[in-house]
Amino acid sequence: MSRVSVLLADDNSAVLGQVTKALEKDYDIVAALKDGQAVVRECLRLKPDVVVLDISMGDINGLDLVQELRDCGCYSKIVFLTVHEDHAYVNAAIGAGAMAYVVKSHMSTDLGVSIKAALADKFFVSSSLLYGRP
Amino acid sequence: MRALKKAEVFRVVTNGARKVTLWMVCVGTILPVGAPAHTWARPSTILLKQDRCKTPLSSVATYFHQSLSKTIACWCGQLFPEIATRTLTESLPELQRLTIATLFVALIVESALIFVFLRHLRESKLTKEVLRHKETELAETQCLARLGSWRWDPKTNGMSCSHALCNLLGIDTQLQTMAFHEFSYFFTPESWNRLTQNMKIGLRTGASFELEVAGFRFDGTQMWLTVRGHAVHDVADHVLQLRGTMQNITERKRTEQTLLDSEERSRLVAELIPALMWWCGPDKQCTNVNKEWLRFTGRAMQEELGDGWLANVHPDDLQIFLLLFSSPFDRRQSAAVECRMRRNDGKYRWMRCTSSPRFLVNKHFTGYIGCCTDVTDEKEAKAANAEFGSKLIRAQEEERARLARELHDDINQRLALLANGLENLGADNNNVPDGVKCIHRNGKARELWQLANDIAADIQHLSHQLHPSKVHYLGLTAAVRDLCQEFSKQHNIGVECIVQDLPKNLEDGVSLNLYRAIQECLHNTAKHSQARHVKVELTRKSMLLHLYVSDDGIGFNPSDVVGKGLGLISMRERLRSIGGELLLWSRPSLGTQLEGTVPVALRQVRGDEACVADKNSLISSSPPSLLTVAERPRSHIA
Repeated sequence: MSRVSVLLADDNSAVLGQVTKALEKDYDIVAALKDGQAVVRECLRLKPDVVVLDISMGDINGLDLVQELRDCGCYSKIVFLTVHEDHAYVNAAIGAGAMAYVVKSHMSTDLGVSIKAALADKFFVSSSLLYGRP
Repeated sequence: MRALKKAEVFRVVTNGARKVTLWMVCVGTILPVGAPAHTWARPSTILLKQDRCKTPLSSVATYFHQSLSKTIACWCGQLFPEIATRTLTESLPELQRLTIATLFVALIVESALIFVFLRHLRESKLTKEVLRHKETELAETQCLARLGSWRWDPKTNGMSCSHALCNLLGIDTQLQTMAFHEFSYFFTPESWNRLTQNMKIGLRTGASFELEVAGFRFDGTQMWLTVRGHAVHDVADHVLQLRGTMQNITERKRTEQTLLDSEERSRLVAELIPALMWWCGPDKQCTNVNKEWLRFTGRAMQEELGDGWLANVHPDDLQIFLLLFSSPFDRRQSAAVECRMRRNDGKYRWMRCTSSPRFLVNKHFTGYIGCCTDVTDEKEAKAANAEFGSKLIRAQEEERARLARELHDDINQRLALLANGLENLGADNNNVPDGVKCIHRNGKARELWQLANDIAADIQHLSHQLHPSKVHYLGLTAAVRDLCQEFSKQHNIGVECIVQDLPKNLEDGVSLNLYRAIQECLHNTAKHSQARHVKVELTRKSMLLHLYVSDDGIGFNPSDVVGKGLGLISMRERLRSIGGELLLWSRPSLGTQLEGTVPVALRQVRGDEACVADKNSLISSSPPSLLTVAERPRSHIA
């Protein structure tokens, strides 16, 4: 059984490195992109099962990017990984078509769970947004 | 009874005449209704003096021609059938039928003659009455018109004056005729010369004349008169005399003189002041411009008169200028219009043209007077100021955005990594599987993880304060709704938020400045208004975005906050920087309303130039504005 392919996109190299490190044991990281503009092209080419995206990628708006991917016929599961700990962003992300919303400060605990939930067609939101910060 | 009534009427009529005698047979009695007087009333007299029963037919009949008697009898019989019948049957039954008939005919004929006479008398009396009435009316009219009539007979050299003229000249009304030379007393020598010359010409040629002369009343009071005269001819067309009128026009002359003085003064002022002035008549045609106008346009007076002055207005401004000028003109209201006018060097300058209607003392509309001042420098300074303000706001926002980005994209990301590292540290130490690590962290690591998360939250808040990234990532609609929700929660003030029909690709600058304006407005509401409810409405209507914020707070007097605080100035400048404007209305205890309009500007998309609204063109091509035609209920923010 082939491993689940994951495409990572974040304009911060350190975050990108840490996420790669955290996921590479269980998932096939097909690409780790800093450039938001390359995401659509690479998604169409690699057709990953899951796309882990940041909302703020320089001038690129991750929420707009999801819409662009859907318009281009890419139906990979979308997991947002961001520092915006705000319900307005969560609503916008789910509305755009994402399956999961993970806050970066909870990345180590929530990201793996969120990918599994997304693959099972279940929504996932970081617990700090659901119940407030522990 | 009807016969009695008619007899009574007849009696009243004849008594009214008081000149004739009438005896009348009625219901068997001869009734005296007047005193004997006239010869042609003789039949009655005969009847009275003689025994009516013995009156022979011939004695009555001889007084009238037979055919006339018959005709009159027939006529009267038709008029008074009751009298005739009753007389025959009741009054004198002993008389022969013919005798009675003759007697009656005699009486009726006499009555008819009396009727004719009375009618003649009444007509004569009425005519005299009408004549007297007309004379009174004429005198009153002359008096009201301050006008009197005169007649000069050259044969007697007598000058006859009407009562009204005597009154006008202030002389005794008994002295209605005087020698022609005595009349010179009432005129200045120059006027008398002109008058006599005209009268002599009239006498010689029969020509009519009319002239205004300076004169005096008998008591020496000065006055102005209009003298009119015409010749009266005999059958041979020779001039017999001159007749005419004199009218007192002193008041009119004084008004004219006052007006002339006033006009002269205003013209003098107009020539001295360094502004362009113009006058136009009730037909909107230019009647005059001052020297400064001519110097500015470099054209001749003749070129400016009539419609000529409009040639100076910029062709692009002409239509709207005429519209804004005509509308108040037709309502006789003051107006102020800004438009471009061509200077003598061919360059167009912005002019502020104000105008006011002109009225005479009697409220008669005589046209408009206007003044134009060059406001190009003022407009350029304002534009530069606005541009500077816009640049300042843009620079400030850019710097804030940069700082926010630094905090968010760098510091916050690193803090997130730190938090994750601490989380992993705790998890590694406890060597527990994913998903349950957090509950097994050791105490110190958990404390540090919590601290890192708190710092990250504070930095995110600070970053959002510096630059509202929600506007960029979520769009203005979601950002404003979120702002209102947060505000309501934070200040416990009910907020009704209506945001609809906003374009998704609204330009970032427009979105950000509108968001900032609402933020500032809500901030002011929380700080000063003591409001319990706030309404925020942001909608799109055609190519304009309308912002409306109102509260039910204590309100304030806008003039009290002029120059105080930067909040209102900042809001105005923000909207102005994106081509919009802001109006504020507030009264103590009546709450505050803020209304803003901004032209829609869309984010530029590659290859889709058409969807971008040119904001600058919207500002620069704004038409001339009407400044003071209608009172605005809301004041501009100072």
